[in-house]
Parts: sequence; structure tokens; C-alpha cells
Amino acid sequence: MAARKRRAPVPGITNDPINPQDNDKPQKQLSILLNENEKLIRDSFGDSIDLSIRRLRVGELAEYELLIVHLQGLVDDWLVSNSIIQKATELSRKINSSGEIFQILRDNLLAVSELETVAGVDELIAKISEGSCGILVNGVADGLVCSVPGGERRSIEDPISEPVVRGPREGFTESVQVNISLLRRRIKDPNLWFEKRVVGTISKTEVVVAYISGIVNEKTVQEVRERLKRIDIDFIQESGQIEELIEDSPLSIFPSIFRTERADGVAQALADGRVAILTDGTPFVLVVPSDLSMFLTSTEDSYERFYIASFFRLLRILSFFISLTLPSFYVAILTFHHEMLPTELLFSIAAQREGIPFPAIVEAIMMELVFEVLREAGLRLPRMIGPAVSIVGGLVLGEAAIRAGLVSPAMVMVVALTAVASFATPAFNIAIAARLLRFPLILLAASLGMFGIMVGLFTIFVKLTAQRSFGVPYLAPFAPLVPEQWKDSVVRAPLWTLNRRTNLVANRKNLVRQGPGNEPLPPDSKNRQSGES
Amino acid sequence: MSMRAERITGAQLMSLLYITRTVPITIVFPTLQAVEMTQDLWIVSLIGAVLTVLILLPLLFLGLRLPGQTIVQYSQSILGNIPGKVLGLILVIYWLKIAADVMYAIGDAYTIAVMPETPIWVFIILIAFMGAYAARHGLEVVGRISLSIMAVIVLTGLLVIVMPFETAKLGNLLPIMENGIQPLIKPVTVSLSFYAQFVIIGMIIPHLNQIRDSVRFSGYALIVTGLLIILFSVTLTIVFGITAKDLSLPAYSLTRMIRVARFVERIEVIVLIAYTLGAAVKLALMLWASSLGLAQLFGTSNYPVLVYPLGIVSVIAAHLFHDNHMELMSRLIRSAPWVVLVIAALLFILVAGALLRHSSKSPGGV
Repeated sequence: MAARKRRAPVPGITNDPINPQDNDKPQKQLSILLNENEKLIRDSFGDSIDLSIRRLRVGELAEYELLIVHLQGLVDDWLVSNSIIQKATELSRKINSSGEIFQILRDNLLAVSELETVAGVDELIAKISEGSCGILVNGVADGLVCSVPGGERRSIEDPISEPVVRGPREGFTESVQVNISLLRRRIKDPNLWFEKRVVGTISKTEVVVAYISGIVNEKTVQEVRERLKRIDIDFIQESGQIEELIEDSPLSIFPSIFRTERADGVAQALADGRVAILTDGTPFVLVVPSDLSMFLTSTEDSYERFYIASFFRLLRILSFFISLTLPSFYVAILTFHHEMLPTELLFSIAAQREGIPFPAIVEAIMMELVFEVLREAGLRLPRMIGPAVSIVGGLVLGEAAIRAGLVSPAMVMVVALTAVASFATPAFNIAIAARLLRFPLILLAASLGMFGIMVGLFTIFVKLTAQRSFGVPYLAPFAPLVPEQWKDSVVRAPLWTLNRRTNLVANRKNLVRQGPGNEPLPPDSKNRQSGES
Repeated sequence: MSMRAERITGAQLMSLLYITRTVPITIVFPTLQAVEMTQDLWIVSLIGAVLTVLILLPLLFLGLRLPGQTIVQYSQSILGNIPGKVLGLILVIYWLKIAADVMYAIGDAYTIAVMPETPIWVFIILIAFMGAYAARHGLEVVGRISLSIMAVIVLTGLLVIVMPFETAKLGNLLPIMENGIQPLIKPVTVSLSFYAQFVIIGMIIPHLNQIRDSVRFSGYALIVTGLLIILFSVTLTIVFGITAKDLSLPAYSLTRMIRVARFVERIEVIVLIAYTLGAAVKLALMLWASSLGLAQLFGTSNYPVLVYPLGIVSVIAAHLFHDNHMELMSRLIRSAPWVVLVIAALLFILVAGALLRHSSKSPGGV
């Protein structure tokens, strides 16, 4: 297992390692008789209506019988009729035996890229379920399966959950084959390797592990393989379910596996020495190992000028803290530490709160809950009504609540600022983690002031410091402190200074990313340098 | 919990030592109460820092001479089973005492300065939980958070030292050593008794990923700690002059003097928060060391199960042995000479034992 190294051409993956659990069963062989085989297949699929079985008579006197089996909607109908049925009829005019027809079909007939011979019934059925077309010849105990991928698929679109101003517009789709080709188009190195596993006893979901051999840390790949192997479940729909079954800290609020639907983001992660886990049926790809700073960066940071990118990164860190702590600080100051505010501001807030019947904590929790409801409502509604809800909810409710004397304008501002700050976090799941932790922090602030907030933050800090993602500390460049890596996490230094990959992630024997002389210089200074040396 | 080897870096050792010495001592600052004249304070701090070399050197010598062993382990291998265990037990009790002091000092600071109506045990129990929670995750996590928190403490510490300069009177530093060297002895022992807490390095050295770093980084720790405490003493003296001795929480009072642009004012709560974070780290270190020490006395390595019980023990100790702020201060000052004496005696015995043991073996050995 450890030494298994496979290379797969695109499209599609050949030489799939069949999962070990499949190897244990005794294989039932195909019969020589076509009728028996047909019955076997029909029985396996329960004569399902999407099963298409075509009996074909070929040969000069139409004396040989072929059986063409596929599932409707999974194959390309045009290819089946043109490359298989028509070709088979044409080529089998001058033959003398069923064995010969099988040979001709196998060797020079079919105009498809992938063709395999199968002998077992289960194997044949598995291939048909995956969307291959099976061909059986009367009198031959072997079958042919050819890959004729087709069917309806979503086209490649702009990833709507992670928009950028500048950068590629390609997002992953639900088809793992398309996703693999998207990655292969971005990384043309033959060291980009894909490994396939099938997860889910019913869904038989293809899960593909992608990495760049030589750059990736072999231990990480091995760990991914082992954890995927451990999964024993019936049904997998989305990579989130895989994530829950392989992550390091299953009870942590903070996600320890990064997910993205941007092809350029995954390609960059692979080039950094990370491992991608693609799941068939979802555009969301998992990336491991992932640390907290990954969740706070956007792919766009690498494309914009480094001043802009650095500013954005600092801004995102700031807004992450605001979204986590601002309401609790406000509650703590109002409840316990009035003296921290400048006197005029204190008077102004006190005047606003004059007629408000609730203490600050009730106000804060109420408004935060209203905001969470609004956010959820805006998200679930049809796209046409969504903005209407946010306008009615946000503007009208907020304004009316202030007029009715239920909440103070300052509190509405704090909650709104928190909401906006939480939208500035690029990864949705980490923003939600911050939003969830806001409530206990507000409670702590209301009961113990700054001390309570500190207890909460310290506990979160310890928990996150102890958290790991596939062997990499979650708070990597901060705790443990690796100042050298701050240049591509806290800020983004100019590209020509990022000479090495992160040694926590990538293969330590291969860390050099680029030569030292990449800094662009004006032509005359280049001449001068070369003249000197 | 798996018994993976815990490894920390030299910089993390430095931050642990720094936090051990400065927190929460600079909040309550017993040395200030011990000096006769405030203007001698910075000289006392200087002498204390310099004399600390005498504590660090034997510890480093022992740590490098017996690599891979904690002070609890090598005291047994040097002195033999029973005397070594007695010595180890003394150290474990010493660390628990420090833990109890830390809890009480922080709770005390909060009840005096910020939330007088909240009972002190609320703070004691919460801070004990924070420390034990971190200690439970092992030295690696404690080391990592300590480095970040040290950055926060140093930043706020510099803020406190630099910002109140407009109210400072340099004349307050004079006259120096009016009554000669005699009155300095007592405050120097107090200062030294807190530096004696560096004995914790005996537990940390075997966990360094580069054992040679211990010399360099404990040196840095001493320099940084000494400098900041001396600067802090100077600022305290020039801002408050002779009245400094009346302050119960000097660092807190210094922060109250800060006022920038009519906006940044009364930030003392933030400084207090920074020190409390440091106190939690120190507590975590003490609980980690005492649990590991106790586990090693019993010959097991499963120390994490001991962390919470020992945390509860130190909470009870904090409750039983302290009455109020004045009592805490006077006890810290009264016990200072004994602490210094006991630690010095322990170190002397260990070093002598290690040297004798070495000479009794073949010269090429070890």
C-alpha cells in the first residue's frame, strides 16, 4: 500500500485500485450463454427502468448475437450508437466464430479511449453502475466494458461561494473527472498523481486523493490513505461528510480541514505540498493539512499587488477578531468598565440608553439572534426575495426597534459592525465558528466583565494551540511561533521573496520554490551586475 | 493520553522564564514594600538580577550534566532513592505554593481594583481552571501560548513604562543609597526569592529540542526580565516618588496615569488582563511541573491525570493560607530569606553530589 504509486491519464482514471473489501468476495464468473448473462444482469438491477439492454445480431447471416448493456443517462448515447453498435455491425461481416468476433471487437473495433476485459459478474455490474457500457458476445465467457462517459452535467462556472475580483473564474463541478482535468490543466507536471478510493457501500462515491509527488510530505499522504481506509459507511454525498469522518478534532468548533471550490486555490495548495481530496458529486474539494491562516486568506491575495494583499490580510484578521469579540467587549464595558470610555462618549451612550428597559446583555443577545435569523432567512430564500428580506429585516426592523425604545442605536451599530466584519472572513465555516463563540463570550462578559472575556479567549487559544490538522499545528505561524512564515500568512511579501515552501507542510527535502534572483531589476542595473561578476 | 515526547524551543523557554519571574509579582510588587527608600528600588532590582546568575548556573550545569532527566529525576539519581524523593517532594510543594500565591494575588488584584463586589473565590477558581486546562494539554501547548502572551505582556509593560513620562520627576531618583548598603540586603533577598522560581528550568531543560539552547536562552530571559523590572522600578520611582510605597498595585496605578489624545485613557483593565493571561500561563507551568514531578516521584509517566486534582489542591491552599492583601505581602517578604536559603541549599547539595558522583566514577565516564 505504501509504495503504491499510480499515474492516471485524463480523462478518467484507469488502473483503479479496487478496495480491499471487494477483493474478499469470491467472484462469480460470466456464463457462455447470452441468455443466462442477460438474466443475471436483469436480476442484479431488478429490471430497473433505466437499464438499457440491446440485443444485436451481427455477421453475414446475422448468426452471432451481441448484448449491449448500459444505464441510461450515464453514457453518451451518440457514442454508443455510432462507435459501438454501428461499428460492431460493420466490422463483423466476415467472421467465422464468436471467439473471433470478440477478438475483433477488443482489438480494432471500438472507437473509444478505454476498453477492458472483465470475467466476473460483479465487476461487470460495478462498471455498468459507474457509467460504462458492457458488451457481451454469445459463446464467449468474457465481457468487454468501454468507457463512454456522457449524460447531463453542470458546466464549469464562476465559483459562487468564493468570488474574486481578479483571478481565474473556474470553479469545480460535481463531476470528479472534470475536476481532475481542471487540476491537470493547471499542473502539467507528471508528478501530479491521483489515487482513487471508493467510499460508501451504497453510494460507491469516488474519492480521489491528489498530490504532487516529491513536494508533498509522504507521511501526510499515508495518513490520508489510512483515514480514508478507516471509513465504513453506507452513503456519502458531499465532501463535508468525508471531512467529519477524517478530521483531527471532531469536537472542535473550528474546522480543521479547508474546503474550496476554486480550481486555482487547490492547484496552489498542491504546489505548496498539500494534499487535495476530491469527492465525486460535489464541487467542494478538501485540502489538508490546513491551518487557521488558510481560512483567512483568499486566492486573490497572490494575484494582487503585495501592498494591497497585505492590507487585506491584516484587515481580515482584524475583522475576524471584531466578529468574535466586539459585542462582548461592548457589553463588558457597559456593564463593568464605564471608566474606559471617554467621558463625553459615556454620557452620549448613557443618554441613548435612557428609556431602554433591558440590561446590555439582553439587548445584545436579542439583536445578535435577530441578525442570525435574518442571515439564515436571506440565505434560504429564493434569490429574488433574499435582498428584500435583508432590507426589510435589516433597515426596517433596526430602525423600528430603536424608535420603539427596545434597543439603543449604539447596540444596533455594534451588531451591524459585527455582522459586516463576519462577512469579511473568506471561509464561511470559520466565520460561523466565530459567530457561535460570540454567544458564550457575551455571557462571560456580562457576568465577569473583561476578566470573563479573557477566560473565554484564553480557553479558545489553548484549545486551538493544541489542535492539529494532519500533523500540522493549527495556529502554525503564531503558536508555535515561526516568524519566517509570517510573510505569507499575516501579510503577503513580494512574490520574489517567497523562496521556500512551508517546512511544516511540504517535503523537507524539497523546499526551494524559486531561485534567489527573481526580483525584477531595471535593465541597466542588470547589465551592471553581470558586468561585475 | 499518549505519552508523546514534549518538545519546546529555546525561545519558548525564555518566555516561560520571563513570565515566571514577572507575573504577577510586578502587579503586587513585594520588593517595593520591602525597600526602605523608594529611590533604592532600581538598585535592588539590579543586584537581584545579577545575583540570579548564581541560581541559574548550577541549574544549567546540572541540566547539561544529566541530560534527559528532570530535576526530580536527577535528584534521585544523585542523592539516592529516599533523600532524592524528599527533595523532589519539597520542590513539588514549592511549585504548588507558588501556584496558590499566583491565584490569590490575581484574585486580590481584581477584587481591589476592578470588581470589589465579586467574591475572590470566583477569580481564584476561574484562573485555576485556565491554568489547569492549559497544563492538561502538556508543556508544548503551554510553551506555545507563553511566547504569544509574553509578547502581549512586554508590549503592555513597555506602554506602562514609557507612557507616564509627562508626570515623571527625575529628581525623585535622588539621593541614591542614603543609608549605605545595609538596608538593601532585605529587599534584595525578596527580589532574589522570586528569581529563585527559575528553579522550574530544571523541569524544562530535558524537554528542549536543542538542549544546548538552555544556556543562551535562559541568559536572554534573565537579561530581558532584569531590564524590564529595573525600568519598571525607575518609572515607578520617578512618577510616584516617595509615595510609591503606599500603592497596593503599583503597575495598575502607573497605568492610570496614561492618557493620550483624550481618547486612550484608563486602560488599566487591559494591562491587568495582560498580566492575568501571564498568570494563567505561570499557573499552567507550575501545575504541569508539580504534576510531572509527582508522577515521576511515583515512577509513572501519566501526569495529566494529576493536573486537575493538584489544581484543586492549590485552590484550597490559596483559600486556607491567605487572608488579605497585606497578609499576602508580609508573608511573601517574611518568607523570602527562607526560600532563598532552601533553594540555595538544594542546589548546593545537588551540585556537590553530582561532582562527587562524577569523581567516584572512572574519569572518562559520563
